[in-house]
Amino acid sequence: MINKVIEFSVNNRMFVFMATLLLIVFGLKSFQELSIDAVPDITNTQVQINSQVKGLVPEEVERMVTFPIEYSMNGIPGVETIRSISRYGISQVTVIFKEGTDIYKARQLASEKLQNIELPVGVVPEMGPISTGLGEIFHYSIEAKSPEKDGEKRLLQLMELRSIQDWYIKPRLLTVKGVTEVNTIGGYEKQFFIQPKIDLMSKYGLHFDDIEAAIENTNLNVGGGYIQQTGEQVLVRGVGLLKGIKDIENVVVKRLSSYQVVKIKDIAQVKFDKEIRTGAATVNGEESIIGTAFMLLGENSRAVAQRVSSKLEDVKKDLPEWVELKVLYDRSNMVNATLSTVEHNLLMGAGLVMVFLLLLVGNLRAAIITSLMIPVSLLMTFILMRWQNVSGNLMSLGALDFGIIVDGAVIVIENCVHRLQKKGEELGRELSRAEVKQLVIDSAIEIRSAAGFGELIVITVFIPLFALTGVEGKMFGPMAMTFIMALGSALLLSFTVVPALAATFLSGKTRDKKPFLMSMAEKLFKPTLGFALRFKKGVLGIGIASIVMGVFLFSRMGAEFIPQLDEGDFAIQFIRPANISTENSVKLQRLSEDIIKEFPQVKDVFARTGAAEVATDPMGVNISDSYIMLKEKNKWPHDDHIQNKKDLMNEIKEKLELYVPGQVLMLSQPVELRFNELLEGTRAAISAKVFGDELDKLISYSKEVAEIVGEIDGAGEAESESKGKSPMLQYTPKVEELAQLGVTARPVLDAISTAIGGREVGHVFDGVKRFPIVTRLSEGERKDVMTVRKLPVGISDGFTVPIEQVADIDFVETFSAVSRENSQRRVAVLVNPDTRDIESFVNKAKKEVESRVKLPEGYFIEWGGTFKNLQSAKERLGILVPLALLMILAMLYAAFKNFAQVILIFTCAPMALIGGVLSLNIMGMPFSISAGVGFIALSGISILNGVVLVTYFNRLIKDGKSPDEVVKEGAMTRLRPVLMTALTDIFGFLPMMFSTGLGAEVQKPLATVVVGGIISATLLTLIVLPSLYRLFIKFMQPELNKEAYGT
Amino acid sequence: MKNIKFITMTIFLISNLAFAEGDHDHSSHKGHDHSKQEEKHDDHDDHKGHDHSKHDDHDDHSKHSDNKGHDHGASKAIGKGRAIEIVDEKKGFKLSKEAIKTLKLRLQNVDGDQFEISKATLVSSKSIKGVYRFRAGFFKLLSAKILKETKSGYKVKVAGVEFGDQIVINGVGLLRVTDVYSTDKSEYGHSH
Repeated sequence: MINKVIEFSVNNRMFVFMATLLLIVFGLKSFQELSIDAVPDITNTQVQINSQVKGLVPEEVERMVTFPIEYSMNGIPGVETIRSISRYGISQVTVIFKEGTDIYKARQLASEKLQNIELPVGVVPEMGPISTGLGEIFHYSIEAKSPEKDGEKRLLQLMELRSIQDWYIKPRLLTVKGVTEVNTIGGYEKQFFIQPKIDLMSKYGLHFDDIEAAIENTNLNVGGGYIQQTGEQVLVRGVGLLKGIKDIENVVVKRLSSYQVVKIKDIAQVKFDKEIRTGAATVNGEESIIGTAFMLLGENSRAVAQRVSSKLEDVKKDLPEWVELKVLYDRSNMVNATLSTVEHNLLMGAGLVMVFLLLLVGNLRAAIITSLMIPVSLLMTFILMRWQNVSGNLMSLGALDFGIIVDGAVIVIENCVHRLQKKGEELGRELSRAEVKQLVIDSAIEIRSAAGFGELIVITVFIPLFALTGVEGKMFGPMAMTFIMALGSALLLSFTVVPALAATFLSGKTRDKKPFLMSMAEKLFKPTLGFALRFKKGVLGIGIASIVMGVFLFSRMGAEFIPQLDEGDFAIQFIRPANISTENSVKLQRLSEDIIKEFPQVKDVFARTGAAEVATDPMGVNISDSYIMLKEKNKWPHDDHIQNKKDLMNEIKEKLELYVPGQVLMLSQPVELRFNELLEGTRAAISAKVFGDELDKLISYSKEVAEIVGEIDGAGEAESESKGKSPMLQYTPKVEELAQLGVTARPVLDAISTAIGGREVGHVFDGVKRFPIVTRLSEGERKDVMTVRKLPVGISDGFTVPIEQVADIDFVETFSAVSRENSQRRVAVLVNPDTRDIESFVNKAKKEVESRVKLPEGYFIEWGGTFKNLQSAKERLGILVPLALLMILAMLYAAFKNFAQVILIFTCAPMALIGGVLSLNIMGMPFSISAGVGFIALSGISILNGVVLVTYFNRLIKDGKSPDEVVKEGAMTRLRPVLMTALTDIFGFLPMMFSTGLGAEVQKPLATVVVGGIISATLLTLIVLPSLYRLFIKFMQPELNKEAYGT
Repeated sequence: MKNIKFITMTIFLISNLAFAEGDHDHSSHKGHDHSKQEEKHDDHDDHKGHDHSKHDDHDDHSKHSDNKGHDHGASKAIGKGRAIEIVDEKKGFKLSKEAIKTLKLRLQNVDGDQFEISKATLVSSKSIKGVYRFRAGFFKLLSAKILKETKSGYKVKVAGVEFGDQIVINGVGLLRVTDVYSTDKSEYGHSH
């Protein structure tokens, strides 16, 4: 079959060239349409159900809202995990479905279940946006060009800015293709407050309900249908809608028996005031409004971010003169930066491969033909990626080594050149084009098994990666897919386009001019090989020693899942006492931002404190997620001692810890923070989740675990997720007193909820905009314990009593949040370790915790984070990789029909181990799945070398050469292809190995292992393999007669 | 089959060696000189010559005597080089001079246990009213009894305040947060 393909390609070159041209055009088109991102989206299929539960404390939210929702979701098919968090005023249930579940189906099922849940009146559960951990692609701020200094004026300014965001910017951004939600945090919603004066209300015998009823009875428009006139009809309406503060003030609440009218302005102050916020935003040390655009699941983040950016440019033109819209975070910048790293590495790698091809082949035309395969195979890969919806990112494109990819073409072209030269020498004349064609066909067919077979082996070793599931599957599946696509493309090209080009462009006068590099290599190799063949057993010993040393060093290495992607910017999570007020949390945040801003490397710092409007992340107000956007490296001051991100992060942390008390800092990165939250429900790289029933105990155990983990080397930051209890002012209706008055507890509870919490009693409309009218005590009265004891409770018409008469008022404590996972309460310990060796850190931490923390029955600890992904990947690969290797053994046996030869070829793999391990050690890297993929690739590549050598040895045996001649001539002749493939492989990955660009760290372990491994594999294979072939010749060639074995 | 090292070794035909834990040194970034960033603490010029340094009494820290020794897990938010330097059950807590400047704390001398304060000076925490005393470098919340309400604030009686002590008259809100954080009164995640 392959022979026919080769013959067809050489005999129908124009057809092959036209097809290649077509392929190039489609490849370019596919590249333009390719989904581009920084990293694969590893978020699982999940549905978030958020419920605003005004006024209920966390334990009540858990009991009355969270638990019924969780319970109902449990029955949905395909549900894998259910997590929840109940905070003051917020319930969030996250339902995680099995891998591969369609998100729309999952939402549909969840939505159907939600219809049948009985929840407290006014609680309307809503599903979160159809987005993922990579969804927050764009942050912007809205600010006044000249912020007001005066408190009242500033409040109005922030309200105005918030209105602009809510009613003007947000609706326009929601029209952008690929945007599923625009979330707002910060500022104040414009609200009309009716702030009753308690003494005046008591004087007139008014209840809070009276104000509500008065507004409801006034604030409405009605339709009167239409009336007909002669030939016309006229619409009828009654207009009662309130238009502003004056209208509200003049609403009549009561007419006294003296016919005196009591208006709202007689008993209350009407004004704009601060809402009770669940969150706030700050930008560069000032309170501000931040908008966040969420990308729809499955969209291309770079493209959507670019569209949002462009839409905001349009929006800016129409904003009032005094408003400034500033882009804070644009995901496309990070994607572009990481892709530029990939692009740089690929181009550098491809360039180096071309140069070395030229230097090693010594034939310009042959070098050009091989080099051409790099862009063509890449374009073909783009077509396949587009077809299979594989996105271009650090993991997929970043793993490509053109050296490995063109190995097949290198072997084919090298053999063509070699045979042409040999034939030319034999005939002593220039070869005709027909002879060239035939020789190219013969050469390609002759080497097809070595080239094709070797590449098939590399492809085979990648197959187990497809069996990875979950995060690891999403991370490494596209990598394996892309690598196989590229290898497959190159393989196809090496049997079609390469022979066609060789038959067309290689000259009949082709002379195999030995390049300088090859001459040097041969000069060095010849005596070394001779020496090795004299001391074959010694060489065997060296080979075994190398393998043992490699295994030993390997066993001493730490491990992590994959290196953390450097996102360029970074994030700090500030955790403050649970009972801190929003205002004080914002103050601390502003002070912290002032300090961060002092660093000249920082471009912008912005933060979200507490939960946003759409509570995708229901943080308490004691937590601030700060994003520190850095200037481009070339704009960092050269004379400053801080010249890298790590030092900057450490310095900022140290300075904050010295200057701003009352907060714990946890360092992270913007995307990393969201990924951790969405995947594990915690916001750290490692989490120890303590499960059980009683929150007090859980908190105590979690603190114990945090202390123990914190003592372990490399712990970095270890903090209990629980912030303990918050104080609560609790009113308990006095049943007996109420019975004597003949009323239920309802008026008491209503008075609390309206006077302190605030009640929306209507809206003021301004065009389509609508602003709530809220009845609530003034801020001064709300926080005065004495005042809130005197709240008037309406007992009957015109009769009120102070609330302290009908209710007990005490300060008690409540938990600030209740987290649950799979129907059990849990408190997590968050750990962001300093060390990259996550595996040994977690093992040590587990051991320490198990020995020192004694949990009662019903309580247990589960460890989560990237460590879990590492474990899961290990388990799967532990079964599948050996299977793949068995397959390779079978393939080799099918090809060589000699078990000894198969084993000999297979020994090339362990000889690569030592180089891979040493290079990882030298570069200071632990083992990771990324490095593991490098070892997997390496095993295939090194076996390819063995195949090339042993195939040639066998051919020479067939030609009747003696065993000594076979190994000497064979090794010398095959030195060039082995060196060529090795050097091209090395130089293809070398730029990646030493790259310092954004995102380079992710693929560095892969490149490091391959480069180091190929060096050791090549050196050892060229020396050890011929020696072993000769040493065990009777097993390699059992059909030879004993005399021929020699010694 | 549960170890990736085993997997890879299987690739290399060697599969039965146990793995010892690496002994890596991950010492954190330490010893940075902040002298450039430190600003002169001059907020107390009006405090009639009160010199904080003279009151930096490190001799009697029965609970937390080591100025490095108050690390909570690995959060390390209390200790030398941190905003809260020492926490002592009796004396209160001591802030770094940088933190005092950041919180814009202002002090006022008092000459006995009865004095007038502004409304902003009074600390309200649940049903408790109090003021922050500053003595020998330590801040401590003391319970205050309101004797009468004046035009500008209150006249209070505070047991534990003596002649020569100072009280905090500005920045009380954030000082309270710091107190809660350092003394764990809200059962915040720092056990003592």
